[in-house]
Amino acid sequence: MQKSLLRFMGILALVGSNGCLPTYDPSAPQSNLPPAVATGPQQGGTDTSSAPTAVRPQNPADGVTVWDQSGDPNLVAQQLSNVGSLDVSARKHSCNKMKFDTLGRLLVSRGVDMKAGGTSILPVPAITDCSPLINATCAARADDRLSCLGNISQPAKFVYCDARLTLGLPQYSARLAEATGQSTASGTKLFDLFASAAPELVAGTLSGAGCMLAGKPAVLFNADNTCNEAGVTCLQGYPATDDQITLCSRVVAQAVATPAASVNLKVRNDDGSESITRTIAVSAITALETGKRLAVAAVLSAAHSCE
Amino acid sequence: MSKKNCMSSRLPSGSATLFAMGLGALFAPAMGCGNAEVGAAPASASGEGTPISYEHAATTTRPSLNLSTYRYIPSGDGLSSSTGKVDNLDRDVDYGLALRTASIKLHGDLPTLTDIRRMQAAVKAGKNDSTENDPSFVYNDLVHTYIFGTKDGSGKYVTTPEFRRQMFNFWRNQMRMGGTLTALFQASMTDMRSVSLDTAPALAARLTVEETDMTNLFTQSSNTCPTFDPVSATFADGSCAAKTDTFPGNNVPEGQQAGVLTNPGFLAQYYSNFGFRRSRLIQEVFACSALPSEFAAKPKQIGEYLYSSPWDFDSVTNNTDGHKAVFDAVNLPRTARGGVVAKNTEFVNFRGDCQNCHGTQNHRAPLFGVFDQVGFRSPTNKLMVTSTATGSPFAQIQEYQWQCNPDPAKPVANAVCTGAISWKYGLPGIDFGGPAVPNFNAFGKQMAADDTTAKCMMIRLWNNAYSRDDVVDQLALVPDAVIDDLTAYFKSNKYNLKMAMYKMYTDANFIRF
Repeated sequence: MQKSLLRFMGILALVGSNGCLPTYDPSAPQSNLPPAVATGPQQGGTDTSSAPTAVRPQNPADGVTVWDQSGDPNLVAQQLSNVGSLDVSARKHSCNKMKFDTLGRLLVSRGVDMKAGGTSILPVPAITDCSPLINATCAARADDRLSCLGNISQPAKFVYCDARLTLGLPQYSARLAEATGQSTASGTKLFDLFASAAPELVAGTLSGAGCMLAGKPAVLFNADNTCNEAGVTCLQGYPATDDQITLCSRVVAQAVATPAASVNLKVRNDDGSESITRTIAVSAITALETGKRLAVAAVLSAAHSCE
Repeated sequence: MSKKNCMSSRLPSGSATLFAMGLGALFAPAMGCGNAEVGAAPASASGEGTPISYEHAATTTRPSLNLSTYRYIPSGDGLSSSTGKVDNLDRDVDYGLALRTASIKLHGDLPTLTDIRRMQAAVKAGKNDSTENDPSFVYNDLVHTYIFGTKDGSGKYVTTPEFRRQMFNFWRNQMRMGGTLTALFQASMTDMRSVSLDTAPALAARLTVEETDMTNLFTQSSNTCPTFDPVSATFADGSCAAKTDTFPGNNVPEGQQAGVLTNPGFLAQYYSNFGFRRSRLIQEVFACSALPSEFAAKPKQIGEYLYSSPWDFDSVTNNTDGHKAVFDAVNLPRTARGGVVAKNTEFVNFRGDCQNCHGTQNHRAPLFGVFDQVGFRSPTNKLMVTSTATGSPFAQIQEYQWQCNPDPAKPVANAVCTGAISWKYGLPGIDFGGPAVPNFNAFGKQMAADDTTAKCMMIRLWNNAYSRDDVVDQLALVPDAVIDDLTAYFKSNKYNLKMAMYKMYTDANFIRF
């Protein structure tokens, strides 16, 4: 279920957001190298590839590679003209990772529980013990905790706390500011965080202060289980478009149920073998519930990949 | 360069489908000063130092593109920042996105649903009449509230806790410091003291929030170690000279402090050999460029070196005749931590290719070198930063500038070296050494008077607002054509950062995507 969840989120993140993704440059750099001389037997016909042309933003390494390869500074100038001169590019909004601190407050203001024993865990410092935030199942035993944490989903507050380094907590002791760019690791962990928060948001109302309108919390889903515009708007901090609502509702409608499962928790013995300590029964999740969680996670992931 | 932390996911691996964000960071390579010498020149005269080569590690070389001059003429993009209100039919304008990103930066959270609805209604109405039906009016009003807060009973604006917290975090990130540091006190091998790394960002944040002249960051002479309570998001007064059981203060009297330049946390965080890291940080954070930072009108070819600094060639210590460091082992022995005497006469040979940066560095760093690992000033103004000579003795001023060599006719333990320090070439020199507290404030005033520091604050604000990278580490440059009028506005409004911030976030360019 979690693999499907992540695959859906990735696709929906690509398709569903029209508000926060940067504009991609149209084409990859063209090489001016002369074609390779055929030395083998002559072959008839045209050897062409039917693979689709790769479309991706050009990164600086590409620019230098093309220049090294082609030796033609005009080609580089052409690439630069696609981006624009510094006068132009400096005036454009870029897409940086959301600050770690901001992420925590965002979750609270949308209604996610970020408290331990009634006290807010924010701001999370570098040195902190996240074990009080583990769910009861994993907290019950210490010996199989690692196995439990790897197999049983945890509340968002634990993911936020435990993955603070990956999510970008600044390393001031190393004289480093908070990383500005999203890495693969931080992006993945961000999606994990939103996947963990989704069940809470679906189960409760959007009860955080940020989602109140005239004293009432915004609603995520209508009575017919379609996505509610106010709820999606509040989740992403930006007015939801009709297309986004439609896509969100489709995710809810087309999700498949997650069957019940038994998860064996293990502990590694001194000789390297593993022993099963306990078996946890994970309840089935209905198709509707799965869909709602997917939809919420996808909206959050797509919208908040950039600040 | 940012470090990437990779932690294995708790969830099953290899399943996530991610789209490439296409973000790359340019790496700013360190420039090597030249090839290492083979062997060291022998000491000739009595007390004359033995030169050692010291290389910065070079990682990659900067590509030289040699592009021909061309001019890109944008069609519809890149508006001048002085452009006024625009028609709502402009397809690039998106008040919703602008509100979202402004709220994230200034408020530390997404905009509330109430604010989003208010903005939506105004966009839908689409009027141009400075009412609730005018999206420009509503957007500006919301941003004004984020920055200036709301009026209290007396009609005075009170900033929100969220804005205060955001400013504190902003400056923490700019200065790359926060938390607490514990390190050795003075020349002790065992005496550990603690220093807060939050007071410098707190000072900068407080100046911002209270709309105080931001040049006070370099010149404020007292109350320069305020504290910030992250729970209540309030500032409290604090003196950097005040001592506690674990924190010794900075040993600079109130009235002679110089903003963050004498902040003990700031100095402790960037302790290094010769104090060069402190000097480099001041250059990069407050002047927004890496070294070399000073350029003569025309570079000169001097022997094998292309020399571009305006400082006289050989104005700093090096292994040429008349420019070597001389040590007085009797009256001024080289002592290391714990009182160990280093009996060598090694000194760093700042060769011609090193002098492009060290012409500047060697005229700045000694001023900050009198502070130890916890930011406490030596009572005798002895340099408390170590040299790279064998044994790591504490540095002596003549290792930076040969003009400060001890006078053999008048051996004085703490001689004054006249005019040794200045922010830039051509500015009045500030004396180093002697028993009096160094004139940190004069250095701070030189920085404050330099337009580069005002422009740098605008550049850092700009890059934060537009979600861009760091101007030095990732070369997210902002050209003069983009930032000049904002800098002029900032200066003309008594260096009020809040006002500059409001102008930036409500600019016609900011609302376009």
